[in-house]
Amino acid sequence: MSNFRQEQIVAESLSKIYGNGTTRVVALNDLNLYVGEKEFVAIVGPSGCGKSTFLHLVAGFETQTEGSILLNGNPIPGPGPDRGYVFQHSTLFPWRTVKKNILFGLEMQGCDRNLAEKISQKYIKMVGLEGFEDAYPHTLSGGMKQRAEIARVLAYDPQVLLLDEPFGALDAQTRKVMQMELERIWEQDKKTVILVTHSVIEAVYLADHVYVMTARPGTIKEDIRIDLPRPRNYMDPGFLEYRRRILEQLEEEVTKSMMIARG
Amino acid sequence: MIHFREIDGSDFLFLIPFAVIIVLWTLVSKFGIINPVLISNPFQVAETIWNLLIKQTADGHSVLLTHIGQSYFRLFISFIIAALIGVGFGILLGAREKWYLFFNPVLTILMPIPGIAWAPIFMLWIGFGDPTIITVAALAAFFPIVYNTAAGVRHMEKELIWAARSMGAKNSTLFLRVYIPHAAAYIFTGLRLGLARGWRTVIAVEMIAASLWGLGFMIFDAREYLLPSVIYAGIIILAVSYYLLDSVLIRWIESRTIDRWGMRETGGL
Amino acid sequence: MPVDSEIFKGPAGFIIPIVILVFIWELVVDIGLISSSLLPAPSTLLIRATQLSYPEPILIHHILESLYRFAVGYILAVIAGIGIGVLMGMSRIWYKMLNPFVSLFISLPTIAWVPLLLVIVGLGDATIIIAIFLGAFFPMVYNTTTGIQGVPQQLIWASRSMGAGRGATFLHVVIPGSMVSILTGMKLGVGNAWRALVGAEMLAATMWGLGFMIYAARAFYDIRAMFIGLVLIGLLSYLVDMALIQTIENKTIRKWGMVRE
Repeated sequence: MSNFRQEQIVAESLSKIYGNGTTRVVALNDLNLYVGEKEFVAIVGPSGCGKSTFLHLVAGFETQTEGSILLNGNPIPGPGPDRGYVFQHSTLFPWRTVKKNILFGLEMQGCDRNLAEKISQKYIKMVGLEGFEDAYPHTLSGGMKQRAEIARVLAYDPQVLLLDEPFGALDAQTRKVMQMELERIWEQDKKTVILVTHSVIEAVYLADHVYVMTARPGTIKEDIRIDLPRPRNYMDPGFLEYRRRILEQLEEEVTKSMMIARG
Repeated sequence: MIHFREIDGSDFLFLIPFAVIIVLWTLVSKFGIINPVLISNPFQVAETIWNLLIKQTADGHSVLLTHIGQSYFRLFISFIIAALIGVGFGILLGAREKWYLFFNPVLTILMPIPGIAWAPIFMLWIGFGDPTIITVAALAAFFPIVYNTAAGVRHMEKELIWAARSMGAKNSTLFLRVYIPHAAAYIFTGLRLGLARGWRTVIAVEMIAASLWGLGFMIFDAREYLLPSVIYAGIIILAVSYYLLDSVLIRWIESRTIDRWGMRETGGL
Repeated sequence: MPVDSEIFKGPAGFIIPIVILVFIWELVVDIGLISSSLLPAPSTLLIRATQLSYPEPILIHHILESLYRFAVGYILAVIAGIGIGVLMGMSRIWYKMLNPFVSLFISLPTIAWVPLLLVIVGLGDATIIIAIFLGAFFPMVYNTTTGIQGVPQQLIWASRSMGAGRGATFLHVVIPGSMVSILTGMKLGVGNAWRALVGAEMLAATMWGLGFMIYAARAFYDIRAMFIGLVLIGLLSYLVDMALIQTIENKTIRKWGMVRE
């Protein structure tokens, strides 16, 4: 684990507890995590371990019970346009066209209309949705929706990207294409990214650091630095070795969480 | 979802507006803001309910219970009629596309006509009292039942029917064991809507078809004698009794059938 | 389900069966299968309708009077219903305070209010309009509330994290997100409002209105006028639904693909 306290995102002794009495759930317990500026970080862990909860805390959707979480040295004030969030299931607004969805963030921040128009065009092109600007989300396929989501979250240029299993609802082929797209986009315009995912391959392909989370209550088990040149090769022996290491760690936790589920 | 977590204490918040209304009501009647003849305070209403409960008819039954009983009796009969005809016709329309296409337009036009609009015509045809009330209420309840039943049967997957037929099912078996359970959720919605409609129509027609008994009649009649406390009593009993009917009886039936079959459906209008 | 006859689709498919049934109706009465004093033939209805329109436009007057009352009562109910619905949907406290009343009164037959209104307000327009208001108000409140409560939390989070404040989120996300339910409430409100209109007119109108027309016609055994009234009520409520609700639906939830079908 990195010991630099000047990292962009610093979580220390973080814990999140829901409910009380018989309904008490400790989602996160004593979690420590550090993310440097413009670093791409992935978090893997068994289902229900609290990965999404952690992401919610960074996003400001929820507040922690104990411990601290700082962004650029300051506590998280609540949701804001400096941290873009992509959910697992599409949160495109059904009542706005693709273009108007992408314009939303810019609109809300009072961006000049002509400039906003140009920006949205740039990102529509970048994610390959030209021709679909005036389509409504319900007419798009799953992959196209996620592309629109990514364009939407990039358009207003947040310094941090929080991705909560963004490709989870896609089929395997589309998923692979999207991973490569994300890699390509990130290389063009590096931001700080925290990616939560079930897929170890996805994590190794994209991230500088992969954090393995324990079963509930969630805390960080391992921090594995991925030292491979980009863009990475899924078949490369180095890649496969990292994958093996992480899977090993992960499987232990998956087994534990299944025992928790059984009660 | 915007989640409201349940805490026991806040469930009693409704008492605040309730108390506010009671206080306002009492103040308004005490200080004569509106002609006191026209308003009665909550205590008078409670007293009226009690009096009606213990007052006896010629046969020695409680007046209030006779009124309530008469209305629900009419509801019961009209609903049974509407349900039998409605479900039957609805299955027919649902299963036979040509019949559906033929009858759907006229049903669509007739359905929104309020039950009470039919009452004067039936009063002309069959007179006052129970026959008219029951017929009109049955007519009103009929439409949502047919409509939803037909929708339920129509929405059935062709595959289900093919599968059943290929297993050797004859038409009658198909009818009972395939159509009805699958459409059950829709049918149930239709029945529930039909019951509500029938109830509203019973009360409404009671007011104009001048019978001697029934909650609708009781409320309407009280107007003649300027007995607002009876009107209030009637409204409260109407609200409470149907609320009970719906939440207790119907939810119970739902839980035994629909929920058990895992078929919660919000189909139909 | 595939259909054999192509004729039965579209607007033709709607009108043709009705025309056929009207023909059968006409035939049955003309032949004498059913006495015309019991069931008037459609042709006689047309004649009577003409009598009621010329030289004195009585029919139109009835229609307009009913429409006027409906419009006033319904529009007020929509505004008030959405307003209170929003309040209850957004605020847990108001929800807990008011919901028991809404649930109780929503199942109350609207016509039950009329005798009370007659005592307090008397005969005439005010009573009828208030009754219509009460009829449409409760479904509006209830559905608006559930609509607002049903907006997915994630959409709200997404909006806030893109820089939209609470007000902007309400306007741009919560309201469109609740449109399906709000429209359902409006539909139910129309049905209830019509019922209230007809019933209240029968009990509280003095001279004009379709409900009054049907009721009064009975005293004169004018069965043809009664049927005309019935047909008009059916047609009008169908038209209101098409003109009002369908138009709004098409511009909003259908376009957005949010129709629950």
